[in-house]
Amino acid sequence: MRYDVDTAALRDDVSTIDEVLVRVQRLGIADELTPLAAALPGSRCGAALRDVAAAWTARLAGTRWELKELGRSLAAAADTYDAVERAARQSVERSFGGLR
Amino acid sequence: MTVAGGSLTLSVRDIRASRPQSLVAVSRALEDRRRRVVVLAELVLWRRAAAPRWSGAASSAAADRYAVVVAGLGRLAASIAVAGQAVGQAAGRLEAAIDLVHRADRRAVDEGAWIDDDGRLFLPVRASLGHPALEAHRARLDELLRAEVHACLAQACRAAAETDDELLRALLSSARGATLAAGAGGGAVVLAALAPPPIASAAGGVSAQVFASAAWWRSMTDQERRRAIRDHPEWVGPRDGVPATARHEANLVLLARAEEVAWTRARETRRSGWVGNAAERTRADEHVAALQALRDVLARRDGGERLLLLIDPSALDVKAVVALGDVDRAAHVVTFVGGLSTMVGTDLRRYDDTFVRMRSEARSVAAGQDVAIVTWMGYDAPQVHEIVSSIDRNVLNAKLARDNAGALADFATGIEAARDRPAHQTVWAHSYGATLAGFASLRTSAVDDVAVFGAPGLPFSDVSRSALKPGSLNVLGAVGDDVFNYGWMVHGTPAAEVAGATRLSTFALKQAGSGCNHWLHPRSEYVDVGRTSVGHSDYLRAGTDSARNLVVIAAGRPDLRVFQGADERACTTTGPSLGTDPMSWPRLVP
Repeated sequence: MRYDVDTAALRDDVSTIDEVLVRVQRLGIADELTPLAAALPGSRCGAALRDVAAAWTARLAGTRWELKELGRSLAAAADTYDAVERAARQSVERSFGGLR
Repeated sequence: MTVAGGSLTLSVRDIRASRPQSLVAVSRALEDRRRRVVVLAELVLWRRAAAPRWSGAASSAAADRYAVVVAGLGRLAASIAVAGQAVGQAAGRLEAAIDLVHRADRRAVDEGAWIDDDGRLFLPVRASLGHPALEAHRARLDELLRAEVHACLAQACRAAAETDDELLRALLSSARGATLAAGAGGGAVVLAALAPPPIASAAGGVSAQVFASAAWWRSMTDQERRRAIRDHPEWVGPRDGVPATARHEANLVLLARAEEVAWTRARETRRSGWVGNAAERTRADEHVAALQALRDVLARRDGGERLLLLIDPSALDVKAVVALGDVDRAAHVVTFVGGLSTMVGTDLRRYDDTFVRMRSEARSVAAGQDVAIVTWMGYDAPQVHEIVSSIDRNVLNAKLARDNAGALADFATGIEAARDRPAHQTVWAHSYGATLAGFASLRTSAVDDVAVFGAPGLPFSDVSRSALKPGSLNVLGAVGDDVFNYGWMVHGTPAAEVAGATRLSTFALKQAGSGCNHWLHPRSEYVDVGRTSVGHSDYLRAGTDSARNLVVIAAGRPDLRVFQGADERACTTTGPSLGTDPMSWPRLVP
């Protein structure tokens, strides 16, 4: 097994993903469609705008979930690498401790 | 007026109250959101690719995860694009629907009428015009108004309802993950095309289909119109009611297709060389000649714009309609209909030459106003050989004239329906074409004035029994024109005897009042041969009184017409010329 990792950079990635997540949350597609109801009086579109909004909310929730999962797994990877590194360092330090 | 659109309906009131500018704003906001999502996807990608700070099996797994997220953001951006484009396209459609309602409003107001929010047309109580023929004409104009208003409002409601349905579908499907097809650009069309109404002419009365076609064209956005011309030229080219420039563009595509078919057919018939297919060979060559004539005329660069308004190679002979001048905007539009033996291949160039001259004369008479002249060869004219070989297509039979009258009336009404401002429209009709124009005159149309020359007969005995305005029928008959003088025997009322028609001059003496009984002197000695038309095919010759009369009628200057006088009545009353030149031989005038 061989790997190379910069966990600080990984945590930066997590921050970026969190930032993207916030921006996706602020997209507000359903809100942007709201004026359609008044602009199209008597229309099916106006009447069904709630369904459209619900569909967009669900769609964006899916996108957010994917981002969250990515951020969570990157954070978990960074934590795990740090833990392994810590454990490995402690193990090495312990084994050389008796020589001092 | 409302049109069903799914479970709800859209009314004229709804269309008037709608706000397409709000849709444009929504579309722009969605485009802004799409761009933001693209930026987010790029940001995620950039973070991943910025530096190779992580390698190993877990890194590869994370890369897969990144790919899924970035692809998801890409799809999200594409879905937002679908929604934005659908809303933008709907805005264009809605604007077109509002314009249609406004056109109906304007048409109504021009005639003193109005339309309420339910789409009902209210005509004013008209003051009496004092004459039954004028009242009848007023009623026909109201009938045209009703047909046009109904077509505009019906199409506005239909287009708005279909757009509403399509928009809802696009918004729901995009929210649920739909994206545009690969390769579709930023201006991709999301809403389905509005289907055109049928082209077929109505059996009688006002041609509602023409107004429906005009309304269909107006109900589309510019982008949709371009698509219709590109993808379905057969929807546009032959359709009366569509603007001439659009028809021309579509017909050029149809002309190229027709040429390909005609050349292939001509090559194949020549290759076979079998004596039995001589007729087929002739027909194929005639089609090629007709299409070549069209190309020649369309390519003329003598200052007059030519527009191809019909190309139909499916008939026995090629049918075509070619306009000289701006049919969509000229103040005066003339439609010429020819008679026996006219064919595109043999006659179009000649007519075009003649009409270049006559248009120039008409424009000078019309004092700055533009005049367009259309050569309407939109019917398969009877041919000489068919006098002995056909019953239905025989020039002695009115069937062809009757069957094609609707096409001529629809053409004229279509010109009017496609324009923003009405034109003064005249029909010039020669020989059998005059009989056809006579049948067309029984239908309510946008024709204002008719001039028939060398007419063998008309299907009515009194102008008040036609759909023409009183005083609008002009009759010209030349000395020695046996078709004009004797054609009535098979084609109804002699044109000269139709009550209410105005008989115009085709004849001039060198010295007015000198009479015609110059015993044993050839007529050419006392007749002004430059101004006098002789025989059946001399009406359009430059310098003749008949050509001048046609020009002033076309230019909307009936006050400049030269009427048939006593001298002319006396001098042109002769027996049959039987092919001899009535100018060469002395004749005793009865």
